[in-house]
Amino acid sequence: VFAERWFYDFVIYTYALSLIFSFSDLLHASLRARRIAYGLLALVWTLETAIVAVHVLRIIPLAAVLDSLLIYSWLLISFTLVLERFYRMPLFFFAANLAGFAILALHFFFAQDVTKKLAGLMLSELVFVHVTLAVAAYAAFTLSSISAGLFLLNIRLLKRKKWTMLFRRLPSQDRLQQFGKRLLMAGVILLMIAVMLGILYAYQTVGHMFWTDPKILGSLAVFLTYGFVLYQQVSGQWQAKRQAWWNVWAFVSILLNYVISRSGFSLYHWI
Amino acid sequence: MHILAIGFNHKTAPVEIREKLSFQEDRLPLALRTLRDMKSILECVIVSTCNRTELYVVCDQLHMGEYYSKSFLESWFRIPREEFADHLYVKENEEAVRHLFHVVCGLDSLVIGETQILGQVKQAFLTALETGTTGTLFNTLFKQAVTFGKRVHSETEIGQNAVSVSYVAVELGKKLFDSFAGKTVLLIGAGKMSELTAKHFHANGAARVLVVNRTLERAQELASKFGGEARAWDELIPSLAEADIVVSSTGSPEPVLTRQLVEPVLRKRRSPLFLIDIAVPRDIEPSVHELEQVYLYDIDDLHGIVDANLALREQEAEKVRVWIADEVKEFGQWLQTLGVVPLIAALREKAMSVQEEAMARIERKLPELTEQEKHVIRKTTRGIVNQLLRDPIVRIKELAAGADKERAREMFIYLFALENVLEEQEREQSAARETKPVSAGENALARL
Repeated sequence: VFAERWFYDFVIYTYALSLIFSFSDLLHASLRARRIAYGLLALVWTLETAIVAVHVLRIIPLAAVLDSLLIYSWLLISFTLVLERFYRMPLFFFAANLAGFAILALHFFFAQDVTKKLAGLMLSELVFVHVTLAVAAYAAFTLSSISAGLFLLNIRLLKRKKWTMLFRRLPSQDRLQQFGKRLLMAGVILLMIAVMLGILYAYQTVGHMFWTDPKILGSLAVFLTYGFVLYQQVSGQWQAKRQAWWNVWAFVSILLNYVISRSGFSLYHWI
Repeated sequence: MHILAIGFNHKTAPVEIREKLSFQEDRLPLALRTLRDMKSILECVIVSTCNRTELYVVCDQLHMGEYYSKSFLESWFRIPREEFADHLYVKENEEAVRHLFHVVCGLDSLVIGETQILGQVKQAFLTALETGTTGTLFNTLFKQAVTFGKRVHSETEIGQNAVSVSYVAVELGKKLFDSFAGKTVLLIGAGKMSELTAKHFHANGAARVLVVNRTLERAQELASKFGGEARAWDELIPSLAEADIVVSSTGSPEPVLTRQLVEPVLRKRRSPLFLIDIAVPRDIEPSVHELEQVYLYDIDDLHGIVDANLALREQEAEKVRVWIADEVKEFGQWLQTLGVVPLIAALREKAMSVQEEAMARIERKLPELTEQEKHVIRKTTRGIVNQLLRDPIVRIKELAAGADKERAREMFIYLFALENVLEEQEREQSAARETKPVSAGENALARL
């Protein structure tokens, strides 16, 4: 059962990566990102097919049941892969990918009509995936904020005409902007998935009252803050310097969220 | 044996002398052979570039080596010695080795840390190697020097950071743009300096060059050099809106780009605007630099970067000088062990002749031995000899680098009774020297 759960985790992580690349292709048309997203989704499809085949052919006795959600997710991915092969629709691909992911997450982690032991295992796995994705998102945000900080330093030294050793070591504005933006993009998607899984966990553990949990509200605040920064970067309404300042200040939301998670008011005491 | 470096460079000789005493590349092998054939000279390498001409020689006597090297220069270039003697420097032994290390690192170059000289010294050595004018000494010295030069350029910043105004502009641009691919360069004015700067941007990938000049014909002439586009003066502001990089060098007494002119252009753009003003008086109003997304640098700013970069190179040079001291020491140690090479060769020769005699006796006493058995015995006896020799060879090399090397040498000869073998070697070498025509080089020069 334990090995089986690891296999499901692998499927979820692969799916999350596919989502990141399809989001990247959505924001900036990139053949490479599109191919990687497609390849990863094809891998998820293969793995899901294997799960379905094992269930149908009863090759190995599986703890998880073959329910309609798995078939639903498998069909969604199958159609998405076929359609993407013939039509170039990045928004459709991303939306379908996201829907498929949500359904698969429900199948893997929503403990319904299962034994108490399996339900415990599923919840523990859900927490694990949620935490790893959230931590990965925070790491991406932190690196993005560092990039934005260096970008501001680059501007400052160029404006003040300071030809110091630090100036020589700085990368170009272009590179810092690209790096920061890509990390921001990955962070937003990872945190979105993590929040989705977090809500799923909270719903199963504390019921409908989960909205009042400060940790969930804090995570949502981080997601909205960085989502807003990303939106400004993609829409190009602001000057690069303003975007960078926002990116740097957005890091404060991560710190606040950390303080909230340690405050003792949250239901998240497993971190 | 001694090492000599004789030559002149940009610091010691004016260009009038340097151009007269420069070797043509296609005649270098002949020059090398002629120099090597001079009396007292055993090995030689000639380094000849636009900034230096240097003869590196291994000679058996210092004054003879110097005299014949100068004679060679005099005869080869047919210039009286008095004309160039004052510009020559002569460096002996350790100084000559140190000088070579300075040269390969670019410490002796016009622009400190330049990398071209390393390739030129390497090529000079390879030419000498192919011509057969190098031996054990220079093969080791030049290989060590070239390897060291490469290490210096890869491990320090001595050759990095631009030191010319036009290239500094490109380096500065790289702090804004990751690459110049797809960028548009606008040249305001068609002066020589803006052409040179544009050339660097173009060589670094800038896709499009626009030239705006008061005289359209001159703009067209310059634009054609980069496959660019010439525009009339009244198209300056629309062209500015298209540009990512602007290089201005008009002779206008008033600024051609004011804050009022630039500000409206910025409203339509999100990418930075990089302005280089190399005109005096300045073409672009300094307050333009205060605008967001605009980076303006004038000629003094660029000179400031050049000075900062040169200071950095000088700092790195200090580090390299310490490394050079270590390299010279290392080469010196190797050179000292070279003195025991004839002893080691003599010991090997004697030991192998003992082994061969033993083999011959065995074969005489045991004629029924098969070829395979003989092979096994030969291999085994040689192995014993080599194992016995290994430690004495290592020890004598160590002693040769110490203070008491002469006594150690004598003791080694005495212990292994190498006197006869060494005498035989000496006789063979003398015979070889006698066969070398003493004045072959001079005769060859006379024929030129």
